[in-house]
Amino acid sequence: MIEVSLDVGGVAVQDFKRLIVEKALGEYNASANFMAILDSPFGRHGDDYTVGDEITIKADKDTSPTTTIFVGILEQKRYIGEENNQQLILTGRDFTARLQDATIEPSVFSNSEVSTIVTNIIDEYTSDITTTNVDVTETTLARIAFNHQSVYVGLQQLSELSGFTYFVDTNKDLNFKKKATINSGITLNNTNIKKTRADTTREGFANRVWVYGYRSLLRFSEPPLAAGGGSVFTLTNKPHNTQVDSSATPGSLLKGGIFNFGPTFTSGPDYLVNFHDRQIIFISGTVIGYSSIPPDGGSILVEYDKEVPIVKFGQNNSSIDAFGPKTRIIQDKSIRDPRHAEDILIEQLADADPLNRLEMTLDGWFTFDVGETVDIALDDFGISRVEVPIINISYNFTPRTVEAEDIITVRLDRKITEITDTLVDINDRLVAIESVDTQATDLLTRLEFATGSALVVGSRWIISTSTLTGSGYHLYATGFTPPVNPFNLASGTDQGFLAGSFTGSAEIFKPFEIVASGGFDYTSL
Amino acid sequence: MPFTNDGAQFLTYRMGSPLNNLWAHQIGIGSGSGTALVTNSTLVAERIRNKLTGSADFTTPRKVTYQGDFNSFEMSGTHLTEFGLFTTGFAILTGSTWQRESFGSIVFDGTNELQVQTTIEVIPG
Repeated sequence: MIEVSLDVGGVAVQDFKRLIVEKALGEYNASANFMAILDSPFGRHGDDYTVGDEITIKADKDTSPTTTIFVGILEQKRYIGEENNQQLILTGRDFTARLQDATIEPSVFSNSEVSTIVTNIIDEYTSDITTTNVDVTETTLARIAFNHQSVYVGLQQLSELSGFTYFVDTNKDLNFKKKATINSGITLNNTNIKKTRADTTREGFANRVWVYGYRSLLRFSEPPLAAGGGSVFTLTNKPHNTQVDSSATPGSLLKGGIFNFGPTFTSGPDYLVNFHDRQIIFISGTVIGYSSIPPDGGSILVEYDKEVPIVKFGQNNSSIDAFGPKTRIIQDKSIRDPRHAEDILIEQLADADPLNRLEMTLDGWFTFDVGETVDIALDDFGISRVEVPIINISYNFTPRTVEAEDIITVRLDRKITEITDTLVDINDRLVAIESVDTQATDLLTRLEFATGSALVVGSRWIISTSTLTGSGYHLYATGFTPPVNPFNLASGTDQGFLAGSFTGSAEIFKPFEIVASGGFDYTSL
Repeated sequence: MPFTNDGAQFLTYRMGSPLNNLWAHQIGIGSGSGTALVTNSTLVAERIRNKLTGSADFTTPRKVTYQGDFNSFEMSGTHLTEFGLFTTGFAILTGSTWQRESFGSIVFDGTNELQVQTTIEVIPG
C-alpha cells in the first residue's frame, strides 16, 4: 500500500479525496503541478489555507512517507458546492513557477559557456532557486540575446542549444543536466506495466529549416552613374533612404518620390524610386512643366541604405530521403548575430526524425524522477530500448489507487506537439515581435513604490560644571579696576602661564565634572 | 527600500553644517520647569544663549554633538533646569528650539561654570 502525506503551510491535511501530482521536464512547456480535492461539508475548510502557502507532498510504500515527491506553492483555492456536497480544490505549481513568472531583462551574452549563462540568469532574475546542480556543458555560444523572454523560455533555448534538459527539484534547486545520462536502473516490461500507448508521428519535426533574423540597413555609395542615354538608371541593390546628387545641380540634393505612387505625375520631385526593380527614374514632361533629367556627359551620385538580412538555411538529406521534406520557418527579429542564427539552425536540424511518445501506467511503486532513464522491453509492440528518458511522471492518489498501487503514469522518450505547445509557441513569437525594439542600453525610468525612513532623535546629553579651587591668583593690568570684587576670569580667556616663580596654586577652576546626564545612545543597540 | 546610512549621514551633516544659516549654532540655558515635549518651541524661562564652542562634532557616524560653555560670571545666581538648541539669534527668546531638555535644578553661585554637551542621532530605516 502506498502511504502519502500532504502539508499546506506546514499543516498536515488528512482528509483529501484525491491528490494528483504531475512532474515534467522544463523543455516541454510544463512545470510540475498538483491538485488536491478536499471534502468541505458544513464549511469544514472554509477558513483554511492561504494562497502562497508552501506545499509539500511525500509518498512511500508500506511505511510512513518520508520521500518528498513535490514541493510547490498554493496558487488557487476553489470552493464548489452543490446541494449537500461541498468541496475545496487546491492547485498550484512547483518552484518552476519562479522561472515562468520572471523575465530576462534585455541582455546579451558573448562567448559564454551555457552553464555560466544559466547560473547568471537564475542569480540575477529569480528568487528562491539555487544552482547547485547546474552542470557544465560542452557548448560555448558566440552570442545570444534576451529581450524580456521569461526565464523559463530562456532556459528552454539554452537547453536546446546545448543538448541538456532542466527541471526544478524538491529542494528548489535547478537541475541543468545532459539529456538521458542518469539511469534509474528500472526496466519496464509486462511485469510492471498495466497499460501502454506508443505513438510515432511525422508531426512536429522538420528536416528543412530557414532561420530569418534581423534585417540591418547599411549605407552604400553607388559607383558614379554616367548621365545620357535616358532617364532610368539601375542600381546594384534595392535602395532605402536614397540621396541623389546630379552634376546638373552640384551641391543640391534632388527631391525624391515613389514610382507609381499615383495615377498621374505631380510636380515637385526630381526623381522617382522603383524599389523592387532597383531603379532611379528622372522625370520630365509638359504635365509637370519641367525636366530633371541630367544633361549628357554629366554624372549622377546615389547613396542609399541597402538591406543586409540575417538568413540561414540547412537541411538533413537522410531525413528527407526517409520521411520526405518537412519545412520549418523561424522568424525572430531579436536574432541580430548570424552566429546565433546558425546555432538555432543546427539545434533544429538535430531533431530531424519522427517523434516517438510512450505513455505507460505502472503497477507498483517506483522512486525515480524526470530526466532519468529507464529500459523498456515490450515485445508485442516491437519495442526494446535502453536508456529511454522520462519526460513526465503523473501520480494519481485516490483510496483505490493507493491500495492497488497503480498510481504512476509515465511518459517517455520525446514529446509530441499538442495544441498547448502551439499556443505556447504563438505566445513566444508574439513576445519576440513585441520586444524587438528593447535594447540592453535603453534608458530606464524606474518607478518603484517602497517606504524608507529616517528617525532623528535626541541622543545623550551631559551637564558638567567646574568649580573654583579657592586658591587662585588673579592678574591685573596696570591701572585696571575690576568691576566687581572678587573679579573672576572665566576659564580660557585672558589667562596664561605666570613668568618666573610663584608660591601657591595658579589653578583657577577644577576640571569639569558631570553633574547631570540623560538620554539614550541608540546606535549602541 | 530602506533609508540608507549615507542618507542618514547626509541629514546629520545638514543639522550642523552651514546651509542658508539654518543650522543649530546656539545653545540656550534657562531655569524654567516642565517636562520636555516635542511641542516645545522655546525654553520655559531662558536666561542666557551662547554660540557653540567651536564647531559641531561629526566624528561618530550619523551623530552630531554640540557643546556650549557658560562662564561662572554668566551663570552666577542661576538655578539651571533646562537647555535647548537654537538656529537663530544671539539673544534669548529668538527663534525656535530644535531640542529642549529639562532636569533637576543645578545651582550656580559664581564659583562654578557650565559646559553643556548634547548629541542628536539620525537612525536610518
